[in-house]
Amino acid sequence: MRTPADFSRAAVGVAWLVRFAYLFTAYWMATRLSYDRAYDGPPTDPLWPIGLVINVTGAGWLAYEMPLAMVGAALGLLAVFFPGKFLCRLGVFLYLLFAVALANSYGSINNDGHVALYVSFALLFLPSAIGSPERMRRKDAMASIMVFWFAQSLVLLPYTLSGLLKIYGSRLELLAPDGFVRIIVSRALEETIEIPWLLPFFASQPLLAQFLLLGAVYVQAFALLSLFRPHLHRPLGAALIAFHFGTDYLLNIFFHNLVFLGIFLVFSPFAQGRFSLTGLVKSLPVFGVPFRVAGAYKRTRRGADKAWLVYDGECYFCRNYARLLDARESVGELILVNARDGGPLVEEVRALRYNLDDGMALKMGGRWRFGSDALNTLALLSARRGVFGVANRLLFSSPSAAWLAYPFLNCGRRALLGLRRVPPLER
Amino acid sequence: MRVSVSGYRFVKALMPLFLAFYLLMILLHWATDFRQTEIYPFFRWSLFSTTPEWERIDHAVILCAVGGEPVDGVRYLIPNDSIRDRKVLELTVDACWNQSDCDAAAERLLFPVVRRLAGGGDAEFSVVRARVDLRAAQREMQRLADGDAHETDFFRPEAEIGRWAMSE
Repeated sequence: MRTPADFSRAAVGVAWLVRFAYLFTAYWMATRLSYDRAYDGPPTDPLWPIGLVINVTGAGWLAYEMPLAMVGAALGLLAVFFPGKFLCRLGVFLYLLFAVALANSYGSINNDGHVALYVSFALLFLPSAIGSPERMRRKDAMASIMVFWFAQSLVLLPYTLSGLLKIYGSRLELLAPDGFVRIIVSRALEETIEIPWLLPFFASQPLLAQFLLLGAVYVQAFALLSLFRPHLHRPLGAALIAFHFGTDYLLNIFFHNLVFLGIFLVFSPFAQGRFSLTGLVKSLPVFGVPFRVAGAYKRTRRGADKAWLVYDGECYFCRNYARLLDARESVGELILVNARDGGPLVEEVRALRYNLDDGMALKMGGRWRFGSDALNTLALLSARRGVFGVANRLLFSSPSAAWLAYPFLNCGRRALLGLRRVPPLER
Repeated sequence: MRVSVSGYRFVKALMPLFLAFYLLMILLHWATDFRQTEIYPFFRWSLFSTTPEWERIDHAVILCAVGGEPVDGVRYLIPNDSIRDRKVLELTVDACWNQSDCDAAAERLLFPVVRRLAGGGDAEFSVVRARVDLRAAQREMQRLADGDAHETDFFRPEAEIGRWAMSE
């Protein structure tokens, strides 16, 4: 997304997708939650929202399952029709906070609802203008896009955690030729009322089953990384939907959340318009690294000419960071521009409506990169010489690490400027 | 400078902070001995993250006598189709292993479940530790799928943890 038109298009897309997310949530709240758990002899205490409410009101009203489900559906539908109203979105969030807690209380584990809850939390921060996206101002469009990205991250986080914990928990068993067969046979004995139809086949094909597990762990563990790689949004969404059908046919576990995968990944407004196999392969975590390195080498051979770094010259850290950078081998010449001195480049950044108080800007090959994106690019371009070069590359050559660290770095910069009573760049 | 909770800057700062907080909550849950499955709503997502051995240990509830009459053969009450009944059994076994009051735990947690499963009345039951033969289950998977074999066919009880009698 580079032009204002791209932003507007994405914001309109976000507005529609948010309505679909609430529509699915309404359906889910009306059909998926069961309130009968509290009456069946509780083996464990309820989670805190249930304990809190029952302490105040008693548990009798939980017996009215149908009216409660209708309340959930009504709240969801209100949010579909009035997504700009904060109270409608808050209603959905609070209802889910309670209902998902109930589904996971009294000895039951039903994590099907957690993702809906997380998404409803992220959507709380939508601007009120989301209700009329065609008339949205730029700042509202950017806020909507940011909230959608936040929701995407919360849809993907559980997969990454699940993948990483499988690696941590299984350790070398991931490489055992029969590890996954042991898991699915054990699961079949423990919890399955009916043996899923794919299970007898895979139970007799340990290597094939193990290959499936390794593929699933790969897709899961790196899911969160796709936030930064738009080429992966649609393929990853499709892969995770296939994964859920796989768990249904192999383990009798079905996650209705796959609808969120459709909304937030397959129909992602940030996904590439046209499918590109090269882009997909280059974006793949681990396997794509050789292709990315080869691409970078090719670009270097072609001879990238100049790059411009616009930074805050009054900031002690920024000034020294810029001076210590050594990117001659990669970009030929890195020209440092103090944003406080103004000039055509600073005006160019302002014309793009980027606030230089949010971080530095890097222009390279006719394209601007801002904040953490610029930090990450500079880390990749800088030489691996000296303590600074090595540390810079080590810390920020990963887009995720740069993205996580940048708000803290920028916060430090602002604090330092505040202490020195230096005014911000954009007043 | 005015910061709105629905503003771009706010959400941009909130996103990494919330993700970091989520991870912190998971670590906290790990570090503490919570009886709950999560520090709600920060679920840990540790799903199928351990691989069992081909022969794993499990526990079962066996009905020994009803109304003073011994039951023919071995009749398992748990495991059954209910994950919650399993959870009740797990908690009782935990209490017995942790040297807590095993009898009190059985009476509080297990008695109501056994009463429901045994159909009320006087009953005597035992909790046993059993070895489960996953290789045999793998071989018999088609029979399990056809309904000709049952989970407990692969249980080999090896030690009795406790035996209790309930009267109506």
